[in-house]
Amino acid sequence: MRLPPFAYERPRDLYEALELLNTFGKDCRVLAGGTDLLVRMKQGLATPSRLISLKDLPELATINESDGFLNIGTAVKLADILAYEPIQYRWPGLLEAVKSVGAPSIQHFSGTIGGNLCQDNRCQFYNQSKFFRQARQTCNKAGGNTCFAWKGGSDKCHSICQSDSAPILIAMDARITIKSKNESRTIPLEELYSSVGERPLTLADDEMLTEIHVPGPVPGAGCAFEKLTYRSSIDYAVVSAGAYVQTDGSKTVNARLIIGAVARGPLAIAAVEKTLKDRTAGDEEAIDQAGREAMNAAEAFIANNITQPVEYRTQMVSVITKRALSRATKRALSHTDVSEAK
Amino acid sequence: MSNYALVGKNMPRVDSKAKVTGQALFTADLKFPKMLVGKILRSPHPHARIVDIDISAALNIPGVKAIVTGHDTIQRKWGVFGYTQDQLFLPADKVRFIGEEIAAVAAIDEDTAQQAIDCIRVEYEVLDAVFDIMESLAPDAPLLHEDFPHNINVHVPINVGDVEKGLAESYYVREDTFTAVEDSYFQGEPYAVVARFDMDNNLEIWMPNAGPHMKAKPLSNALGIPLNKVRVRKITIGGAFGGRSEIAPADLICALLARKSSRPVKIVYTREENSIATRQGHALITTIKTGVGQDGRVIARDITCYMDGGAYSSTGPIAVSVPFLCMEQAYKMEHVRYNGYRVYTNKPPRGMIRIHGRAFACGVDTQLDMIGDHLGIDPVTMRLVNAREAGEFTNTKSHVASCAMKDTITKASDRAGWKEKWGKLPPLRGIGIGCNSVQTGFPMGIRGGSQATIKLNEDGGATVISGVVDNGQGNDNMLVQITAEELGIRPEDVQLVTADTEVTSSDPGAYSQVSTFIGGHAVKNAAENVRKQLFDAASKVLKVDPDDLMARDRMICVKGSPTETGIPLKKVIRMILASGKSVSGQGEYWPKVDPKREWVKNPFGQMCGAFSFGTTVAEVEVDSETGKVKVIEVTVAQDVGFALNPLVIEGQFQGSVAMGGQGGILTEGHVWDKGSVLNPTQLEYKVPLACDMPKINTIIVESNDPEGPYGTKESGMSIAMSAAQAYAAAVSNAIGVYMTDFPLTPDKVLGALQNKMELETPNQNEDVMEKTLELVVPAV
Amino acid sequence: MNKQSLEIIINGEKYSLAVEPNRTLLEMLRDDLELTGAKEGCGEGVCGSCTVLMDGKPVRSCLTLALEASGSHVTTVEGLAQHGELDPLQQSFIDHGAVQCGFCTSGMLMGAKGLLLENPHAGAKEIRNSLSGHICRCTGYTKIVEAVESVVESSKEKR
Repeated sequence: MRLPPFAYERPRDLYEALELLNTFGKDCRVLAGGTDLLVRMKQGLATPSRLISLKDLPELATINESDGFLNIGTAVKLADILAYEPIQYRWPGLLEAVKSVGAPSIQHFSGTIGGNLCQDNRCQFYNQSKFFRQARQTCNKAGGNTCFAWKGGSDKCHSICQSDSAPILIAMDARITIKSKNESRTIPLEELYSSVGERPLTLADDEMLTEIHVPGPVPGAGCAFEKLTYRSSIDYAVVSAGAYVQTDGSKTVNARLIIGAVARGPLAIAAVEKTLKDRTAGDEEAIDQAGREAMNAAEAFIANNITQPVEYRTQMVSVITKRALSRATKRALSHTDVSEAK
Repeated sequence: MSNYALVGKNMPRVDSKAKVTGQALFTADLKFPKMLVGKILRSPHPHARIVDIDISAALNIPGVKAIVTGHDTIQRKWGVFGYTQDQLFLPADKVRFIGEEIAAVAAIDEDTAQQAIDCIRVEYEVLDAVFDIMESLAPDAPLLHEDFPHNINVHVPINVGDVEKGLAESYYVREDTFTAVEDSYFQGEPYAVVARFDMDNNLEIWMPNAGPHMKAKPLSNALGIPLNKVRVRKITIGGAFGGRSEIAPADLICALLARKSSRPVKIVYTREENSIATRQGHALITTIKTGVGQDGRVIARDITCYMDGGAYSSTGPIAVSVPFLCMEQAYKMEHVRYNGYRVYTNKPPRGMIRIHGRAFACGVDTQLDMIGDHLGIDPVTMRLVNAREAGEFTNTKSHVASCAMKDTITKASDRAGWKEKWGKLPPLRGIGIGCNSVQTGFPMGIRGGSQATIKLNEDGGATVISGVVDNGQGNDNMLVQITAEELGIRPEDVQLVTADTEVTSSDPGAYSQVSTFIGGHAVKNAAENVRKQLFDAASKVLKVDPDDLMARDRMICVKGSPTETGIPLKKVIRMILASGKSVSGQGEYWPKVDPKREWVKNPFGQMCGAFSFGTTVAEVEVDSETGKVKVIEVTVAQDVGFALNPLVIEGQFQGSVAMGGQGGILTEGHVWDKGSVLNPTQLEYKVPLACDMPKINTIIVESNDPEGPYGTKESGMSIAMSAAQAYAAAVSNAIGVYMTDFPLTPDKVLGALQNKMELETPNQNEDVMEKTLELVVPAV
Repeated sequence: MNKQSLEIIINGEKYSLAVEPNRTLLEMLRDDLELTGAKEGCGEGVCGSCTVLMDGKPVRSCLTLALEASGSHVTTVEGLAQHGELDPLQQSFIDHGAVQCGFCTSGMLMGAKGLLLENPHAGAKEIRNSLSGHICRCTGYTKIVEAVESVVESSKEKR
C-alpha cells in the first residue's frame, strides 16, 4: 500500500515546529509514531500535504516528575513509559492502559503517548480502503452526509474514540499542555475531546499537544484500567474503562469512571461518583449499581461502528466498569499511605 | 519396523535456511528489467451490467503501457469442471460481486498504475443483488447465471440404504440445524503474480499455487496458446490452505498485460484484495437428522446442506461433497441420505479451506454429544461405538485399507485425562472431543497421478524432477528425504527441479493432501528404478545378487555387512556412465481410485487411495461475565499412516489447532454489510496470535497404510477438522448449552449462557444439557 | 515531490540515499536496496512480516517513513547472520521446525532478536507476549516459541 505524496519537515526545535504549524495549518499534520496517521493516509482518510516530524525534538520525549506531577512529553514512546520504573507502583492504571495498546514490543517502540491520545476516531464503515468506501455513499466523517453505523442513518458521525490511555488519564485527572506559536495553555485532558465524531479533537489547526501532566498518587486513592478484546493482542477495545477511586480507608470519598470505545469521545459517567460516595469501599452492591449506571449512560451512544454486536457491547460496559472499579478500590485500600507504597 | 536412515526421523527442513536468511524469494520479491506494475479495477457493485468501459483517459497518462478489459480476452468461461464453467476472468457483460475484476493497467510504477485505474470510467446498470442462501433460493430472487436456475450451482444427491426405514427403526431420532458464516484463508503471503513472455511467445509466470500443472492448463485455455508455452515457474509460496488450487483471474490478467505491453508485469494484491478477490470459505446451513440404537450406534442419517458459494463455481462439486465424505469416512452408519446444494449469491466466490464446512463437521459431532446426553452415553463411547475401522467400506463404496481411528480416540482421551475430567469439571470448565477423517487425494481425472525423474551425476549427486509443489507444508523436504533414503545418499546430495511446468511432468498438486501419497510415491518409484540400475552394476563387481545389496551412506554394500566393505556410490555411477548409459530413471504413481466415480453424477466407488483419521480433545474455561473462552489444553492424535518426518507432522498438527480450533471456532468469520466484507484485513478478522494459543499435546498414530509410500497418508488436516469439533464441544460442555452457530465469539457464548439462565424449566429446551443444567439451576 | 537525502546504516553498511518523503522504510529496503527479506503482509502494521530493527528495537517498516529512519542503524533479516555464521535464533528456527511457509519468518526473527537484545533471559510468557505482534498462519506458534526459548536456554548454559 502506497502513501500519497507529501512534504516532510523535520524541525530542530519546538519553536520551529510550531511555526510550521502556524504557517501551514490544516494542511499539515504532526507525525509522531505514525501507527495511526500513516495507515489513514494509506487509506486516503487523511491527506495532509505536509508532515511535521517530532523525531528531532528531544524536549517532547522526556518523562520527569515535578510539583507532584508526572510529566510525559507528547513524543514519549509507549515503551519508554513502560520502562519508567516508578509507574509500576505509582501509576499502575496507566501502566495497564499503555501495555494494552497494539502489540507489545512493536507498536510500543513506535507509538507515542501523544499519538495515542490524539488518534482519530474509528468506525468499521470509515476505516476501510478507498475501494471499500467508493462502493457506497460518503459518510459524515468522510465529508458526506450519512452514517452507516447508526440505525436509520444520522446527520452526525457515530465513530468512537479508541484511545486506551485517554480513559485512565482522564480518570486520574490528567492535564495537558497545548502550544501554538503564540500561545500555551494547560487544560484538563477531557477538554481535548470534542465529542464530535467528524472532528474529535479540540486542537486548533496551529496547535500541538506537547505534554501530559499526571497527578501523583494521593493517599487512599487507586486507579485501574480494563479493556475487553476478542484477541490477546493487536486489538482495539470492545469496551474499555479507566477508574479512579479514593477512600478514607473504609468509605469511598471520591470516584471517577471513564468509558472508552463506546462514544465519540471518552465517556465520563458522572453518576458513578454520587453512587459510590460515602458507601463502604468495595461494596459490591454499590459497584453493581455503578455498573448499571455506566451501561445506561453508554447505551445511548453505542452504534454499529465495530464488528461486535451493539447489545453485547452495552452489556460489557457494566462488566468492565465493575472490574475497573473493583480493582481501583482494592488498590486504593492497599495504598492508604503512599509513602509506604514507595 | 524397517531400518531407515532418514525417513521416520526428525529432519529439519531443507528449505528453512533460505527462509531464515531472507534469501527465499516469494513472487512479490521478483524483479526483472523493464518490469511494470499491474493494478486491477474492481467492481464496486455486487451485481451490475457493464454498459460501457472508457479507458481513453487512462491510456493518455504518461507511463501507462497497457490496459486490458474483457475485450482483450477470448471470453472463454472457466470452471473446474465442464459443467461448472461459469466465470469469465474480466467479464465484459456483467459483474456479480464487489471486487470482481473489470479492467487492469500496467504502468511504470504503482502510483501511475493506480492513477490510471482511477481514470477508467465504467458505466453500470445496477441490478438487484442477493446475499443470503435462503433469499437466493426464493422464487423471486435475482438470477446470477442464466443457465443455473434457482441460483443452484451444484446439487449433490447421495442416497444409500433406506433412510426412512432406518429412522423408523431407530431408538432415538433427533434433528438439528447448524450454521456458520464465511471463514477465510489469510495466508501469510498476499496473492501476487509475475508474468513475462519471451521472444518465442512462451509465457513464464510465477504465483503462489497449490499445483503448477493445475494453473498451466487453464491458462493455456484462456490465452489460447499450447500448454508447452505456459511455464509456471517454481517460487516460494506463503501458504495455500486450499485457497490457491485453481487459476485466479489475476493470473490471466497479468499474462494479458505482459503480452500487450511486451514487458514483464507484476501484480501484488493488497491484504484486502487477497480476502475479497481470491477465494473465501463457504457459509453454510446444515440440517442433520440422525437415528440411533439404544447403544448410541448410528442407524440412519439424513443431511441437507446449503452452502453459500458466492458468485462462481470454483471447486463447487468438490466443496459440496467433502464435508459429507469426511463424515462418512469417520463414522459408520447403515443408511444415509445427503442433499448438498451450493447456492450462488452476490459475494466473492468460495473455495475449499482447511476446515472446510465447519458447521457440518461440528454439527455431526455436537449432535453425537446431544444424543449421548439423552442416552446417558459419554462422548468418548459415542465415538468409539461409531468409529470407522480398517477393512470397512464407506457408504459411497470406498474401501478403507488402513484406519486407526479408535486408537486416536483412546490415546487422545487418555492423554487428556478424559475419565478424570468428564462430568467432574467445575462450572464453566468444559472438555470436548471431536473426530474426523480426511481424504488422501480427490479424483482428479487426467491429473490424478504424478510422474518423476531422477538423474544421478558422476559425483554422486541426484537431481529430482517432479511436479510436486511446496506451499509451505514441507513437500520439498519430503522429496529430498525420500530420494536420499532410497539412494543411500545425504539430503545435501539431492537437488530439486520441481513445480515448473516447463520441465516437470504432471502432478495433482498439494491441494488434495496428496503430495506424499502420490507425488512422493512417484519419486520413490523413480529412486527405486535408479537404485536398481546401481545395484545391477554393483552386483557384477561385488559378485552378489542385486537383491542382496543396499544403499547407505553414499555406498552400495551387501546387506548385513559393514557399509565400508561396499563400493562408493559415485564409483558405480561412473562405471555405468562409462558404459555409455545414463543413470536416470522415471517413476510414476497413479492412485487406485475408481475412474468412474464422479462428484455429482456417480458419487460411488473408490474415492482415493487412503484416508487419515484424527481426534482432538480440548479443555476450556468460559468467563461467565464476558463469554470469553480460554483454552487450557488441547490434545491431538492422528493416524498418519507412517510419520515420515515427525518434526514436520507436529508442526502441521499445531498449525491445524490454531486455524481449525482456536481461530476457526472461537474468533474467525467474515462480517458483512450486504455484499461488502467489513473485516477484510487481519486487524478485524481475528486470526489467533501466539498469546492466544494453549498448550498442545501431539500424538502421532501409525497404521501403516498398505498403499502409501512407507505407509504414509495425509497428515494434519484431520486435526484441523477435529480441533474445530473438539473446541465446539468443549465450549458447549462448559456452558451447558449445545452451540449451533459458528464461530463461538464471546457475544454468542454469553448470549447462550444468559438464555439458559433465564429458562424456567429444564425440559422446555432440549438443547440444554440435562445434567449440567441441574448444577446451575436448582431443581424447580 | 522532491527527494530528500538520508544517511543510514543498514546491516552495518553505510548508505547515502535520496528518497521521496512518502517512501516507507519497507519500500526503500525492498525496492531500492533489494533487501526483500522483510515482507509486506498487510501494509497497516498488523501482521508483523515487515519488522526490522531500528537501533535495536523492532519496528514495522511498513509504517515507518524512510526519512524517519535517517541517522539510525537498521538491521534486516539479511543482516542477522554474521560472517557467514547464522544467528543462534536462525539456527534454532531451523532445528525446531519453526519455519513452514516462511512468509512471517523474517519478521518473527527480528521481533525475537529485538526481545533478546533487550532481555536475553526472557521467559516463555514474555516470548509469547513479544511474538504476539506477529501473525503466523502455519505453525500455531508452538515451535516458534520453543525455538526462541531454546536460544535463551543455551545462552544461560554458556554463562
